[in-house]
Amino acid sequence: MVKAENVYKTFYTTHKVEALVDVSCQIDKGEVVVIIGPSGSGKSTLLRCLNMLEKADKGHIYIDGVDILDPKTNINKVREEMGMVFQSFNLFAHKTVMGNLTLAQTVVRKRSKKEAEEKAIALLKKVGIPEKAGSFPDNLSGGQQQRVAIARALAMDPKVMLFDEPTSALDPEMIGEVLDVMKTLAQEGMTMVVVTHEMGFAREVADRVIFMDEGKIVEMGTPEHFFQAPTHDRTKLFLSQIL
Amino acid sequence: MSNFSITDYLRTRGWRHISIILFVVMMGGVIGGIYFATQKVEYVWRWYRVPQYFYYKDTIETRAEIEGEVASLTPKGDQVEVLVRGEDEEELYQVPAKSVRVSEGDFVYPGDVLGSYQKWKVGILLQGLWLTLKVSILAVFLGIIIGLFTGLARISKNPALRWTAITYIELIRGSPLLVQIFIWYFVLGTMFNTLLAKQGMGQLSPLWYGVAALAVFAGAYVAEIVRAGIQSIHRGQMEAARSLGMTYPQSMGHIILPQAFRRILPPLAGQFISLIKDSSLLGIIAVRELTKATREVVTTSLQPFELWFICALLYLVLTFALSMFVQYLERRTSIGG
Repeated sequence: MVKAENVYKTFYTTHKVEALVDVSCQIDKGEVVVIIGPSGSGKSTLLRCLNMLEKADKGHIYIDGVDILDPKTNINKVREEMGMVFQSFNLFAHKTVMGNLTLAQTVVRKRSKKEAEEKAIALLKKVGIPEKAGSFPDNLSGGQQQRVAIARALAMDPKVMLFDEPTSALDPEMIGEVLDVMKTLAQEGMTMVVVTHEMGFAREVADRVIFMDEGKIVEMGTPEHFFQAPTHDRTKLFLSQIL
Repeated sequence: MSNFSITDYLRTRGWRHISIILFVVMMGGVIGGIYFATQKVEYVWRWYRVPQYFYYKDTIETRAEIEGEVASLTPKGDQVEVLVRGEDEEELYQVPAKSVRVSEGDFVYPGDVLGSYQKWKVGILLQGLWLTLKVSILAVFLGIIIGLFTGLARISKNPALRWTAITYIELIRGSPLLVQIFIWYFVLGTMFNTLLAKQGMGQLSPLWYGVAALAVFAGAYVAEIVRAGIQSIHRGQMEAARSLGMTYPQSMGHIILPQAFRRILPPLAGQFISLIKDSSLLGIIAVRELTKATREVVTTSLQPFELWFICALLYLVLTFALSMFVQYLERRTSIGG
C-alpha cells in the first residue's frame, strides 16, 4: 500500500539538518503502523513525505504502486486517496463544519451538494458531533475540532489515513475522544500511519511500531516485541524515559 | 451623597466633561479664528454664489436660421409653432408660448431670437465630482485586478513571475506619482496615440492615461498588501487543502484568498482612499476632475475661499463613503456573521 525505499531528506535552514537518512519501510493494506521517537527524529517529516507536503530529496515512495517522486505523477490524484490529520487541526477557519466537510468532496470528487452533505452528516455522527454541523471551527473545543478534521479527511473515502501527532495539541481530557475515533477506524480496517506520543494507543491498536531517531529507523516490530523486548539501546533509553 | 466633593467629581466624570468642552472650544476657536482673519483681510464671503456651480438654470434661446417673414403662429398646447417663410425656403420652430418674441408678419434675419426656454444644467463642480468618481472607480477596479495577480506572482516559486512582480513593484513605489502621470501621458500616451493615428484609428483621451497611471500605481501597493495578506494565513490551511487533493489554484481560491481578503480589507481601504485623493493630480494632464474644475471656477468666480473648502468637503464625502462601505463589508464578512 505504502512503500518507502531509501528516502533522504535534508533541510537547509540556519544549518543543515538531515531529517531523513536512508529510510525504508512498508505499510500493508489494513495495517496500523505507529511511528514514535524523540522530537526532531524525523517521524513527522517521514509522514509528510508520504503525501509530498515535503518533497523527499532522494529515494522512492510508492503509494498503491505509484511512485509519487516521479515528476510525471499527478500528486493531486494521489492525495485524493490519502487523508491527513494535523497536529494543529487546520480546519478552514472561514467555513462551517459542514463547509469544511463538503468543500473537497464537491471541488475534487465532483459530488453534488446533496450527496456531499449526506456524507458529511453520516461522518459527523460517526465522530459523535452531528449537532455541530453549523458551527464555525473557532467555536469548537480542540477535541471537537480534531474529530471534525478526521471526518473531513474521511469524507474523501481515502485508502490511507496519515495522522501527524493528532493529540499533541489537545488538553488531556480531550485526548480520549480523539483516540476513540481513531480506534474505531482501525477496527474497521483502515490503513493508518500514526505519528504519536500516545504509547497506550500504540500498544493497544498498532499492528507494528516504528521507532525513529536522528532521521533513521532504529527499530521496527510488533508492539509486544517493542514494549517488552526492545533490542536496541536507544529504544530502551527512550522507553525508559517516557514510560 | 453629602460628602461627594469636587475632587470626586473630577476623578469620575469630570475630566470627561471638561475634555468635551475643551474639544468644542478648540474647534470653535479654529473656525472663528479663520473667519476673523478673513474679515481682517476684507474677504467677502459669498456662499450664495456656490450652488450655481453644482446646478444652474440655463436660458436657451431659439433663433431663426433663415431670413424671411413670420408666416404663422400656431398654438399647440403650451408651445407655439413659428413658421418662418423665406424667398425659397421655410422652417418651423417650436417655442414655449410664454416666451414668443415675434408676431405674425415680422421680418426676421438669421440669429434673431424667436423665443426662449430655461433648462436645469449640471454645473462644472458636479461634473468634476462625477469625473473624479468615475476615474477612481475605474482605477480601483483595475488596481485590484493588477494587485491581485501581481501579489500572487510575487509569492510564486517561478522566478520569471516573481522577479517581474518585484521589478514592477519597486519601479512604481520608487518614483513619484506625478512623474508617472507625466510619463503615462506625455511619453506612453504620445507613442500610443501616434501608433493609433498611423493605423488610422481614433485617439485615446487623457482620461484613460490618467486611469492607467492611477491603476498601475495603486496596483503595486495592492500587490504588497495582497502578498502580506496571503502570507498572514497560517500555512497549515494550505497544507490541509492540498492534502485533500485540491490543486494550488483551487486551494488559493477556496481557502486562502477568502480568508486573506478579510484581513486586507482595512489596508486596502486606506490605499483606495489615497487613490481617490491622488486623482486630484490628473488635472495636470487636462482631465477635468474635481480639483481642476475647482481651479477653473476659482479663476472665473474669484471666490477661492468658499470653493476650495467645498472642494475639500467633496473629497471628504467620497472618501468617507468609501470607508463606510468597507466597514460594512468587514461586518458582512466577519466569521460567523
